[in-house]
Amino acid sequence: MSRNEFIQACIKNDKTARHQLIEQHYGYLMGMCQRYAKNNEQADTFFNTAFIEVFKHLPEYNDTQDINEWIKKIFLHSLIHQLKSNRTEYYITTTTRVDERKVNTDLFQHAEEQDPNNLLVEDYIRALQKLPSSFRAMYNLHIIENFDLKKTCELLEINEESAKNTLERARNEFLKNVKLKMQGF
Amino acid sequence: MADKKTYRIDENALREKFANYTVSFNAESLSCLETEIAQVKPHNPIELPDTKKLVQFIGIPVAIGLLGCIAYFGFNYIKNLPPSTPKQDTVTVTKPITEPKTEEKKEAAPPPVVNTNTTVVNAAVKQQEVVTIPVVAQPTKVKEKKIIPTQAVAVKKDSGQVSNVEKIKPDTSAVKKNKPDTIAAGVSKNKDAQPKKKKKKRKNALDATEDIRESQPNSADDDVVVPDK
Repeated sequence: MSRNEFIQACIKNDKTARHQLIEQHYGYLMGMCQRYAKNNEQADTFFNTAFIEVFKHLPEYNDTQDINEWIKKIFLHSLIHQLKSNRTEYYITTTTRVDERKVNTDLFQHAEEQDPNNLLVEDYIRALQKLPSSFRAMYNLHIIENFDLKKTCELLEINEESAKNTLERARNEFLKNVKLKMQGF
Repeated sequence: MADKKTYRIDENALREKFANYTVSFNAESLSCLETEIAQVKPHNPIELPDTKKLVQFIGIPVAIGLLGCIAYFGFNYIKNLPPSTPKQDTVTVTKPITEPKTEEKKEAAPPPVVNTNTTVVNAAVKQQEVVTIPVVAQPTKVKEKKIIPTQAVAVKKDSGQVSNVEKIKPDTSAVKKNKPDTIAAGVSKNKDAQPKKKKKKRKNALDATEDIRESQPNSADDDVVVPDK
């Protein structure tokens, strides 16, 4: 079965074709959802909602596009939309004061430094899930997805100044969470 | 003092780790997802129908409807038209907008008026000249000559004025007799010999002419003309 026939079968509500499409893309897409969600349960709901969006837009797919990139793009927009839809979690964190980070970083001044790059991926995911929603979105888009700051601002609909501020705070918070994870918390 | 290393998270290495990270497939978590996906109706992209179908199913009915509306309202409009069409008057009412133009024409007219005045003056002069010309002479005599015989004929016809006609004839003869008198005026002997008889004859002739004048007062100028003949 060619790719086009496979896509047409998914459009025609063929269960085996749909199950096959989900199974093919589940691994990296679920890992992506875990990075954006605050826990694994929320990651499952993010995944289901995003995959429903994929099936809705499947007739618009072109054979010339990479299916992985196309599904990933739909997932990205769906995840940002789902993060923003929970306004209490997403927007309250953006109003916290920047000066708080100095207090938080001071906690590690007297502790013995360890290399934070030797952790498992699951530990980094846990550290990311502890970040506030806006910080998590900013860190994922700019650091992990490697979007430039302008594109990140467009996706999150914020100006560059607040994006830089949010990014700095997100880096510090993530480092703190990683160090806490290293210490066994 | 022991040297403290400040570690930073290597973001590029972290990016690679996440890129290679995959979650093992869990079929149980997909059970609810499959039921939800089964209810999903994919968004079919909007496809415009062919132009033939558009014309068949939209264009022709719309055109027929438009023609029907035009015919219906046009017929009603013609029905509602009044028998007489005073619209032309309304058209003439709109003309006052062009009144300034007519005024301009009137303003432009005065120079010709000046010319007409000059021409009027010339015409008056010509009329005066024309008036003065008949005063001079002979055509009036011709008219008077024509008038006299009519008067004479009229007199002959009128039965009541027969005595006047009889008096006129001796007047002409008297005039003819006066010609030898004028010829003889140069001779002193004839003048001196018979002045009384001539005076009486002249008196008779003058009396006759005065009678004619009294009977026909319009012929007052005849006294000058008659002797010339």
